Amino acid sequence: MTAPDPAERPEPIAASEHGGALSCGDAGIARLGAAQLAAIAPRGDFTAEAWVRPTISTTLGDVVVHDSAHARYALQLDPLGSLQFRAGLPRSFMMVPYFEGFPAARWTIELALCPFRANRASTLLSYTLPGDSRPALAIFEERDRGLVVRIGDDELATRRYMDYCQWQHLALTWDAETGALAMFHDDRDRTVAAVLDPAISASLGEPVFHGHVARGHRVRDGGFLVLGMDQRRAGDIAAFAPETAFFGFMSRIRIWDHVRARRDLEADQGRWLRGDEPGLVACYRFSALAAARGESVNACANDRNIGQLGNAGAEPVIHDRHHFRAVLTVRDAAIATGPVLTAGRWARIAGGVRDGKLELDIDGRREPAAPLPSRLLARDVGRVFRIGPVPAGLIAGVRLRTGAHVLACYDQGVTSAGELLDSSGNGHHLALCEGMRYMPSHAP
Amino acid sequence: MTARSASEPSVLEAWHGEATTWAAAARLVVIQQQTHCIFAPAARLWGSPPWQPALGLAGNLEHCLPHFIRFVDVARELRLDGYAITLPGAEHGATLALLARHTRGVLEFLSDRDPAGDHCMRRPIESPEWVFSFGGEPFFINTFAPCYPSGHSRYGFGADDVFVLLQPRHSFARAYGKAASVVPNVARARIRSDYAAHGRRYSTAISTVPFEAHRIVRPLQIDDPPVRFWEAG
Repeated sequence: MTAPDPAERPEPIAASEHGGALSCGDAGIARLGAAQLAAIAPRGDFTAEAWVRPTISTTLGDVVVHDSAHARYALQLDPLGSLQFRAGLPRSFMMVPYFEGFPAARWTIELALCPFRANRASTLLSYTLPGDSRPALAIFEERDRGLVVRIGDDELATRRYMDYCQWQHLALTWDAETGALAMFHDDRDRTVAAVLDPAISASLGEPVFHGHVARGHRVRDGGFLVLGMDQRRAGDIAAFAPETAFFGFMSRIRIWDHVRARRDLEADQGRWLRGDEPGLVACYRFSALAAARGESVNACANDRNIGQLGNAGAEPVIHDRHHFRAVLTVRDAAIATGPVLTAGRWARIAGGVRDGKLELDIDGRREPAAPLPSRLLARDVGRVFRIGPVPAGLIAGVRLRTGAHVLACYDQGVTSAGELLDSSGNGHHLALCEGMRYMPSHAP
Repeated sequence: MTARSASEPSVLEAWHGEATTWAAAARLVVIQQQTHCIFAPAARLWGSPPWQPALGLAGNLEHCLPHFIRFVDVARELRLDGYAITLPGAEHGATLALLARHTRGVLEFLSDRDPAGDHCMRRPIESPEWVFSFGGEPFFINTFAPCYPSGHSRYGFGADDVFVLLQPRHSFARAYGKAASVVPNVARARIRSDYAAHGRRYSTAISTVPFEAHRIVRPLQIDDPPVRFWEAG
């Protein structure tokens, strides 16, 4: 297909210095006709880049998607946030079957959670071995005893309670040699106050509880780890106990194979961990992309100790979508960054292939990115080239390059026919569909 | 698709108009506009029917009951944020003891007549899972009374009356949006900061105890023990 005669190029009827922005609404897209897919398909190394501004209402967002006989790639925004655990039936949980490498003699377990009132007892976590009828390890809250830790046949009641309807960090450490158990519970007042006053640092503080439980005990490997449910039989969903289930939200669970000191817990409290930190056995977060496949994100491994979600339910599955990771898929390979984009803020995202390697840049910085397992990748989006949707978000300044050659550039508004203008001169104008609107006054 | 009577919108409008008129007449709007909760000024509130002195507390609550049941049924459709039961006059709340006793009276009255059969006031109240519920709807309850001085977060801004404000839990999600799990910390921080700036700092310690019931009638001083209104005689 040859480029149109520049003399015949449609003039933009609405343009700003920065080209305005596309407002996606719920599902707005700008798409190319099927006959032009081959012409806009990159061969070899390429880069797709755009300004994006997601919001807390943005679910999984497609910035640019191409699927044709010649090329297949997608640049996406994947929100990270909290998973809702609903009360009653159907059961809400995250299950890791046949956990590999569960710490036997000492551990630290960290949880970021927001509980709601529902049950007389509330199970945060249970770990049950195959064939057993009660957990080898359980952390739960009861009316009269507060948070209780059960290890083997021994229990320790802390008489400390969760703080309902508020986010909080809990961390528990245990050492079998002495049986010593410590519980940390962050200062929620400081956490809230720190929002308005950066001089205040949210801290975990000293342990709120010390005690001893199950001295000399060893926790065996290979059990079923379940968040949010007690297990009457290991991994048997029908034997999970909804009457003692956790009701509320969780956003992060970390398991370490050693007793972490307070300073280390505080240092990592607000950090996104890569998953290769020494002694980190599992690090579960929740993303829309993974949740859509019924899984959590384990920063430590893509192919082991996978958290499977029960009762993911209808949208929105992931709440508190303040941060997003960038995801680049090219054919059957994909990479994802950490939480590099923030709701409500513009960012320049660029993804592509250079020297055969997938790369992602945010605001001009090369971002560390980990491979995504292929089982999480979307299949069969249909033969399409489109911009969007980034639901409830904005997209601007989309550009596609192969080396120095610009395949398409959308930064100059719309044509007289109402199409999104390709200012590269190659004529790949896009039809605005499904509520996609061009907003000349919105710009990065 | 649910069948809907052609006259239903006008019926709902009429109910809403009547109930908001009662709320205004009870001077609830004074608290609503002057308190420091950022969500209060825009809140859509119903008030209880005007008090009839001859009926006494039980008689007035009996008169209020069908109206409150109506509120429970229409609150989601009309996006209502609360129902305020007004107990007029200093005899209901001039002291903390009076407030506790009459709050108990109101909540036990409603609980005993709960059409959903939950009768929440008969269940263990100091328990993490306990919330006040009526008609299958869980509520968060605030009480405002003349016993609270002007420097208190539950100050009634000069009203002699007691207001028992019942807020259905579903109204909170409307305030902070369905993408959020709970009131965002930035909103919490602003609310606490505004209260403190106006000399009405409230105890967050009471907010962190596991028992919802401790939050319903606040003590006079920040560090006082919780008010166990359900035991008030």
